[in-house]
Amino acid sequence: MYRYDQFDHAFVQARVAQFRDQVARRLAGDLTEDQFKPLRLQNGLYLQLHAYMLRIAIPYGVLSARQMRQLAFIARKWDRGTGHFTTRQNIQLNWARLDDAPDMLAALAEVEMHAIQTSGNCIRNTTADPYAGVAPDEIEDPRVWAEVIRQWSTIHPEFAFLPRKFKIAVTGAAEDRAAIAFHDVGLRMVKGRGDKAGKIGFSIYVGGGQGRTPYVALQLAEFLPREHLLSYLEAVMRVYNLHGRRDNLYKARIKILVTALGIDEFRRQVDAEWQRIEKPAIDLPAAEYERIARYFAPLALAPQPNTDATVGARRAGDAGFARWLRNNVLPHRVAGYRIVNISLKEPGKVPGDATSEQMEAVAALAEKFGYDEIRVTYQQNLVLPTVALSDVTAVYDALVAAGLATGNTELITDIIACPGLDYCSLANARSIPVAQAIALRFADPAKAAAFGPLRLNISGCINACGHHHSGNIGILGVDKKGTEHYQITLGGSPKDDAEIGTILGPSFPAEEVPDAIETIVGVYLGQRTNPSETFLDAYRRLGAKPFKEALYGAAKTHARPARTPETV
Amino acid sequence: MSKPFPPQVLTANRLGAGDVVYLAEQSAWVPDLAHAAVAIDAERLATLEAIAADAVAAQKVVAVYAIDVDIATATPKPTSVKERIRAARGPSV
Repeated sequence: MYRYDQFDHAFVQARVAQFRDQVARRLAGDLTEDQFKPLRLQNGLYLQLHAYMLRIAIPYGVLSARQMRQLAFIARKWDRGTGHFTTRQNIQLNWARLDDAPDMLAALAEVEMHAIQTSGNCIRNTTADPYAGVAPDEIEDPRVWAEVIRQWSTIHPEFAFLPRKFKIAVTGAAEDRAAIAFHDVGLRMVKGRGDKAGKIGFSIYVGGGQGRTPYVALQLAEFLPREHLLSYLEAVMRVYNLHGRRDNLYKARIKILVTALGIDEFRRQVDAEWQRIEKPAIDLPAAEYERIARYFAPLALAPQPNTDATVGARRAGDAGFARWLRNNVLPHRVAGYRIVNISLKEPGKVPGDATSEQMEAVAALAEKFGYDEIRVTYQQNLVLPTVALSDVTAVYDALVAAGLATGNTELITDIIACPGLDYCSLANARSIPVAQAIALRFADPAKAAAFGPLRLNISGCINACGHHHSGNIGILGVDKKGTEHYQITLGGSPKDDAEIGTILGPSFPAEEVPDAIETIVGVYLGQRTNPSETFLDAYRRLGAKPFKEALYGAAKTHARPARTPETV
Repeated sequence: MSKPFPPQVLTANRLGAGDVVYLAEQSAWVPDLAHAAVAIDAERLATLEAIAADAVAAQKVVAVYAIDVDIATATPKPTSVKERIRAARGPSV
């Protein structure tokens, strides 16, 4: 992984010192809150429902064991011993204190981490395929370019005050595991064809996003030679920075500009700007690319047999292990190795949460069996990207001991959920208890397995941090006359077949949501052509009608007046 | 006919610690909503807001705002789900 150079260290430490001074001035009364708020937000410190929240950047979701241990330490010392992994591959600490924040940032700097650009109208943390560098279907490792973008975009003076926040995702694989179609800019590494045969470049998508106005990104460039990525991104950013709306918060994202101009006119403007740019001044020199790429050089792994007697025997005699192996363990690009997904979605627990002890357990596994590499996924799970097949049983046993061995990756209980009204001051409704109730409803592994791969996403407000628009089943919390209600969408997908879900009908009160979901998946089970037809495929074939009829056909209980849960 | 004044209390976060507090009598900021001073008319609310403004200026609290409360029970209870969660000083899960 990338290691800070002298400049990086000096810069991050200077930012910590600067923020320490700003906090001291705020506490002394030398800065008002209006003056201080943008400064703390530039360092990832929000004031949320109960307390300050520190959002820590995890560049493209990559962590070393040492960094994970430090996150555990920070969560234990200055928070309540738990961290929340987010849909932006970051981590949030929900109980930070302002007067502790400089020390927290200093502790992050010790392990080459920070919270810069995790808030504000700037280019945020670039996200990437969590299987980067190890996936069998990869064309080229996207982490190199994610790091290039990180360096280019960090405190880029021209793009520090954009019309609105800006999110970039990059994948280098055949399968999109980075949800690039739902980003302001999505980058897919592709092989050139025709006169570009033998070259690798980027297919560039623009204007995707969720929130109150969801769009699937449109293709801006079919093939951009990779060496021109930065100058082309600079052109995109300039067009957006110049023409993006600053008069209306809700119309300020690039997706609105792209829609208003049309993709052809937007492309014309970007191309015109790109022609004006002095490319050699911005594009990365080949030597610098090579320097960064060396940090991501593939591990020197000797191929091993792709079967293991111990694993086979354990699978035959241990149903829990067999389930975990089937759902959470994936092929690696090197024979005899595996990608191990660590679910943070044990039914009944808070999706995406990990205790300090669990973080330390994962760090220990990464050190002992995982070549010191950990990834964070936008599905709010963790990954050990490289584990020898012969070590898989030992990893599983350690995960069982840490309470991290739930074998439900990509199943209905692998729910993506934002913090919702339990923590977030923007939310209209709670996400976590609804996610817990649904996960517990389908906690029987056989029941969850019967539905096959199924994305279920929950957001507590229209800002859609839980990516509900792209869920095969999406749930949106709304405030309906002072009570929490939940609107259900079907048919969304964040993958190569990206699509925005369609609202099914009137919303449900919280206590009726698990029944509604059970009704929906019941329709799927009853009408699928065969067990290999996924929920999404069945929905696309059947349309919304049978699901609507099942939910709303008769006078359903949702029509009665809702009651507010008594737990608060 | 004007609408009746909804009973309100003032809430904020402590500046340094960030925890949720409510304005009580004698200009005190307390974590328990049960001990908050309740304004039942605009004049009393304005008085509390002036006290809160002084506390903001003195770097005691930040992000002050008024919330509606139900005073039919023995202690005031927020009318919104959001403020009930906030008053519980932690998530509902």
